[in-house]
Amino acid sequence: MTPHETVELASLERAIRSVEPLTAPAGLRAGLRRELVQAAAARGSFGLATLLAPAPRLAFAALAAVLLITSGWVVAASAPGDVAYPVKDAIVRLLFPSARDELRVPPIPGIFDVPPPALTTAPPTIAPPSAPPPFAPSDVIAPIVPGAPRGVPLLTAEPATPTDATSPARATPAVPPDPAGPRATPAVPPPHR
Amino acid sequence: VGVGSVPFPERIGRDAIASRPEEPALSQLADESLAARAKHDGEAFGILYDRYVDRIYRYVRYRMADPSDAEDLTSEIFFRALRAIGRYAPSAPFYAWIYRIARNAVIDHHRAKREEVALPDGADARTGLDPERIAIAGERRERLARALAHLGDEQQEIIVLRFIEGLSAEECGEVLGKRPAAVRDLQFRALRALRSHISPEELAS
Repeated sequence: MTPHETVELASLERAIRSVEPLTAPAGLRAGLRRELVQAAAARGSFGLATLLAPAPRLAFAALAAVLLITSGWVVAASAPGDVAYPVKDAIVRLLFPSARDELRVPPIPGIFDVPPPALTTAPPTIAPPSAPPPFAPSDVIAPIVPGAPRGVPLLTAEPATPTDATSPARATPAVPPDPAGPRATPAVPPPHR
Repeated sequence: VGVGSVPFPERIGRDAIASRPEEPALSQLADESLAARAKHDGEAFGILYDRYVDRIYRYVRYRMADPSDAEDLTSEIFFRALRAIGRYAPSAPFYAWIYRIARNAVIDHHRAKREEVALPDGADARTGLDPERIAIAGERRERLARALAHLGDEQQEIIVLRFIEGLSAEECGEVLGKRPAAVRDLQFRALRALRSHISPEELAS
């Protein structure tokens, strides 16, 4: 920068500084001041209106909170069959889908689990020589009739003769035991002669 | 302006006392103390308004095309200041705080309107001046504003703050968020740019 330029910039600076300062219009000055002071006073006042202004919002918030808590409690305490239970079930499905799946898987039997009665095998017994074998191929467990020899199953099939519909119900007569012992019913009927 | 050696906040306080008699206790307070009281005292804010209304209006007017826009924006700036006074921290100078509000308001206004910065043609509002002198003063302001309109936003701002508002480089730095050295550099470039649009003789005549 040349000395001439420095001098010129300094004189420009002085010329700018010497410009008559602009002032705010009188209307703006007075009117705005009044508005501002009123607004500041209104803002600073803390009266009953300030306290009551948020009251409806507080009441609404309290009511909403009570409703929310109550409905949550009802849903959480619901059992299957209740109206609210599907909601609870849906929430459980949404939140714990894996837990729901685990419930459907049959439990794995443990070492000390008792097996079901149907699968229990009878302990091996030594049958007496005269007794028939304990199980026949098509054998069923037959009721034991007092007086009848042990191990002889009773046939409980209906008699071949038709029964009288009007006669009172009778107990199915037991077929007298065959002295030769139980025989298995032949699967194929004997040829007709 | 003739007050160059007096520190800025005190200068404003003295102007306010001279122009409008206030309650002595409040009017003697520094800007920062008044701003602290203004959080719950409307009259304290009124005194701050008295101290700053001309400066803020001037700052806005030199950067606005329309005088009525400048008045509206001045109102908005003071209402913004009133809303934000609760967040003012007295550790920072009050003038920097309120000029920053004004600066942001002007930027928002220009963004919204995308207008050309035009000329402050308004006459001096002060009473008791010779009408011919008022007309000459208005003409000089008009020439200055016309030249300023060719500068960028930051250059306009530094010319107004440094030479029209009379802030020091340090004070400008507080307002603009720059270091004093950066302010001086910006000021030099702004003056050079301004000189290509107006000469000192044109402005002084």
